[in-house]
Amino acid sequence: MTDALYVGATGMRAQQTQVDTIANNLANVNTVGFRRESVNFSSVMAALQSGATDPLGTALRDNLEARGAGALASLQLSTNGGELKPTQQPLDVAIEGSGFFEVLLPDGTPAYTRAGAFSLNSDGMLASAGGLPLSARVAVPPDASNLRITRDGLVIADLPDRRDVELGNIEIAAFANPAGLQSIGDNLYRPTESSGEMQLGAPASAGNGALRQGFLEASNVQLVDELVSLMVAQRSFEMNSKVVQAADQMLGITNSLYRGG
Amino acid sequence: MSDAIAALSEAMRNDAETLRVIGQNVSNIDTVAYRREIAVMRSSFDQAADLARAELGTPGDLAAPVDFETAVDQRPGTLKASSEALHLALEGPGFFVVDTPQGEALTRRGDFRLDSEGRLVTQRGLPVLGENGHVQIAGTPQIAVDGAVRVDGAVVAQLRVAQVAPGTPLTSLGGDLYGGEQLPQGDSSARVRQGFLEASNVESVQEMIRLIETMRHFEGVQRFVRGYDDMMGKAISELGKV
Repeated sequence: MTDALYVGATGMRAQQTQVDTIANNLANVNTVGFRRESVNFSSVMAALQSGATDPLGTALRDNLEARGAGALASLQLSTNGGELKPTQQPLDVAIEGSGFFEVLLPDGTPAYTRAGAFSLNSDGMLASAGGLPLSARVAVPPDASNLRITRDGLVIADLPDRRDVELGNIEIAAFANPAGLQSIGDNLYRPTESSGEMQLGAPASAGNGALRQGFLEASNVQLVDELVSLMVAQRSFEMNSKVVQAADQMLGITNSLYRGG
Repeated sequence: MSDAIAALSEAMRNDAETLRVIGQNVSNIDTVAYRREIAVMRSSFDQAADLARAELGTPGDLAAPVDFETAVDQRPGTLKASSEALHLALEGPGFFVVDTPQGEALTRRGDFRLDSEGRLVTQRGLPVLGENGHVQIAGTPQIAVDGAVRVDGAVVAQLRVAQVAPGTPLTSLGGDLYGGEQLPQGDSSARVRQGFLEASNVESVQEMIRLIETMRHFEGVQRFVRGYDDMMGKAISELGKV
């Protein structure tokens, strides 16, 4: 009886994770460069010792190597790209295809992002919305105008005395398994063991996406999908709670068997 | 009398086990390619009908009461759309083949991902096998219905889809993997659908009805136990009166 109780509880917990994940996705439906997470359910089996008997000598089933023990939810990051929305801002850059921008955290370690809403930080360098400079360290002089960023990452501007000055190159960071990146908030990701080694390369080559100046990548959250999943999660949670209630009822009935008389 | 109590307690224990099986099915209602378990206890019309629908034996096989065991309903679930390029579903009978430390295993579960080396692996990290071993993918793949994996138009791998002879018993290896004798590679009637996942075959209505049945049965048995308790009480208190 308590087995059923715990099995039902694992189901409820898994559906709770689903609802929490959907809530986070929906909250970030307008976040630039946001990547939704999805929940992955898998069944949990508890291994039985085959040939074992319980204290009363009843032979336990040995025709099944394991007994079902519920479900487990784990999270997976989606690597689908979001829509590119034109903004006509010269410092807005989106990656059309795969890959990430590399920025430097205050402590010097690299972080990765798809959010290309750049601005100039206090040192005059191209930086992300949080003020984190691109690792390419592209410095834009204050008197520069007509800033252009080409598809393959070349940053060019006009200076008062010269035209078409090359200011630097923005490179793309690629991973063998981008879904394995760990989100650290602020649209930033950190590499992990499962994401594989980072490889810097030029945009629009070797599988890297091209840079599109004047565009921002929207989040890849699909409203309809999330809302449907939410409804399903709600009902599945409810169903699992029925199993828990039934197990509780069974326990109650068992307890009432002995009437102390 | 103790025989009766033993039989009744066996019945109550079976009901508790059945509830666990129902709980297992319900908690896995969203698990990809999960196959529901059917608790088989004693012959009954509903039991026989359930098993017949799942094509697991004829009603005649259940004439004698059996100890509690579970059978797995191998009917495939429906295909539901997914936005991930690496999510695959098999339309028709067949299995994907994965590489485990203990050899090859079969699975219907197609929610694959990449590992840190860019190989196609299951959610638990086991490599999926193609005709030429592990499948390496760099970029966004297009997977055709025959299992051919193309990146930018060029074929980079051919996924293996294994068949087993109908009626071959499959051993459950845990973790959504099965072991079974594969037929030699021939024309596979199964088609690989990219961007789809096979849902679990748990039917919520069925599980709820089983739940109600089990609970009422448990309640009924408990009344018998009370009846015997009363009988024993009377026997002790009244028959012994001098």
